[in-house]
Amino acid sequence: MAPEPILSVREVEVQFGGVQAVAGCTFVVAPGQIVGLIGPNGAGKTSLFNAISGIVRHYHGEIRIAGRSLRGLPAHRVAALGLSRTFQNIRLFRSLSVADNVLVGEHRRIRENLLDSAFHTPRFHREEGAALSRVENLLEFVGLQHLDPQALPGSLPYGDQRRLEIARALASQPRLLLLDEPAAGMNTVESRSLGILVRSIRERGVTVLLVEHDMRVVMSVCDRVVVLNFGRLIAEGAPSEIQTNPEVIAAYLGGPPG
Amino acid sequence: MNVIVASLRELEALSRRTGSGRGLRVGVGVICVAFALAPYVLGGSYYPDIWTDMALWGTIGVGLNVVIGFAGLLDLGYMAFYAIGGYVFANAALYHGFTLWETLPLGALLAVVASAIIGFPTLRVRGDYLAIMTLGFGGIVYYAAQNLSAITGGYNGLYGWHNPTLFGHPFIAPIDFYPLALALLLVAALVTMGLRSSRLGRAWASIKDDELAAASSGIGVIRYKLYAYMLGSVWAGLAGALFAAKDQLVSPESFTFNASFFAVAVVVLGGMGSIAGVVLGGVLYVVIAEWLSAYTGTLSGVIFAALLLLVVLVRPAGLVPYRPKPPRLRRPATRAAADLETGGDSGP
Ligand SMILES: Nc1ncnc2c1ncn2[C@@H]1O[C@H](COP(=O)(O)OP(=O)(O)OP(=O)(O)O)[C@@H](O)[C@H]1O
Ligand SMILES: [Mg+2]
Repeated sequence: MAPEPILSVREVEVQFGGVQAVAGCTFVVAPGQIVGLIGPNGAGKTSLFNAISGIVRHYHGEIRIAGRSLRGLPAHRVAALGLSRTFQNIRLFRSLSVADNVLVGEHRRIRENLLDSAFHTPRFHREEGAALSRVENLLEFVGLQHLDPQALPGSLPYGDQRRLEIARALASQPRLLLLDEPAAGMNTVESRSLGILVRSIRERGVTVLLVEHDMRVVMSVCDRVVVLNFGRLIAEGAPSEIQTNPEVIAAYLGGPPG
Repeated sequence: MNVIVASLRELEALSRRTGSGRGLRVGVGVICVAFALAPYVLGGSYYPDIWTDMALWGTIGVGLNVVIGFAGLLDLGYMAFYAIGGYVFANAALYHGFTLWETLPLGALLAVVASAIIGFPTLRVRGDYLAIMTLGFGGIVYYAAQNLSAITGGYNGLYGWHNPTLFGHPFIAPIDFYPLALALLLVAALVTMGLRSSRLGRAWASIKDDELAAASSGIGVIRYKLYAYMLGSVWAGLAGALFAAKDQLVSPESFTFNASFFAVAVVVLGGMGSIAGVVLGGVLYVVIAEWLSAYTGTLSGVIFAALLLLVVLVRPAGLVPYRPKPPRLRRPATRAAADLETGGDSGP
């Protein structure tokens, strides 16, 4: 018997006014996999991410994380179930330092009550110290050890901002990580090293669902690929199968669905 | 309104990246000590109220700073909680014989409870709507103070309770309340400073920057906004009780919309997020509204508003812009260097 999927998406539909962004998608992600979610622009990949992560709460169908239905849960409750994500249009906290950005990701792991926070008790210093050293390790893990932890994210090169967002997402120790176009705007060297990072994230026991337009990244790191077009799932399989699937090729060449 | 707040935030963030702070901080410390001693050196009889009022308005700035400066919520009805503190004290002192010492915690508690009751429904709405709803709340409290004569004394207010004493020492003249007000200001400043650099403070800052990203990082946005509202209101409740005790009178005229507007102005003028800044803002407000108005009359309000506009234009992050204290990492911080731009070593 296959292990219980970490993520299961069943008959999910997302609508914005008259636009059917996701039109009935069904697939599962097994724990420990790196699954690619690809499709042409406007296929509904980000909308599906938004539904899974609790940002879009009005959808039809069912989404489960490790068997637990997410229906009605707001984003922070979904995060509490072990889901983390990055955003296609990087959403770092612009007035917080590099270190503080990752510390926000540590929010749920830091144990401070009101008195600890107000009076900086010994427990406060213990918790903050431990969190800071985890942050340091995470920055190193994502390849940002050269950064000044006090720098503001707006001053960083694009690729570093993407990596910082990944560090923040990992800080909450997710079971499932959604990455929305992490290699966008990167050159060949950068996106190759990003691929290596995604693999090492999986080695930490984190399942990854990856939206990416850079096919070299998708084909080199994914165990499985799911293809959307016009909100529908049109293909699913190993990267090599997807590459030669005529329907997928047609979709990317701008052909009509089906 | 949203645009104004957003651009203020933008510029605040910008100014944080530039400018230096140490000299300024020492200067602020010296000024603080000077203010603590000033009434006794200069003699408190000339403007006996002004020193205590400075400390109270400093406290108002510090409290509202939690809401506006830390969490980025525009509250246009903050003085409602000051009114609640004042009326709670007056009622307890007048009808139930409570002393100031017993009433201070009660005033704080009721301000917090009221802020929770008000905040719970209002904090679900966004930006402009929140401003309007808090404005409405401030208005409701003001008109309630005028009309609920049974507990507020109506237009004339409440007065005539016994003055508090401490170790046999009576508090009568406004200057007697100065050490109390100063102690309150100090506690408010230290506690909120502690909160700012804690898990709670980071959660607020993240919400202020990007609610969606904050929620996706596991932060319950509405809950943390409510915390900001409550932990901001508590200081108004305490200051309001002290204010009533000092004036030996509470009346609706202290809690008009103008007062709430000036409280916001104090925070923006001083520097959103900056403790020293908002205290300075409160002091400046009292100097202009009380001392200067002796010479200029009602023109002092215009002068304060003009000062606010000028500061927003030329120094948008406020007189003392907030600059975060760097976190202490064990590893010495090194600047991003171009020669490290290899990006290839991403493994653990
Ligand atoms: N908030 C929204 N309001 C209205 N329409 C939206 C919204 N978000 C997405 N859409 C529409 O839904 C469809 C799917 O968009 P989505 O962003 O999910 O696609 P995508 O696959 O992520 O595309 P891309 O590769 O360009 O990022 C598009 O037609 C888009 O215009
Ligand atoms: Mg997208």
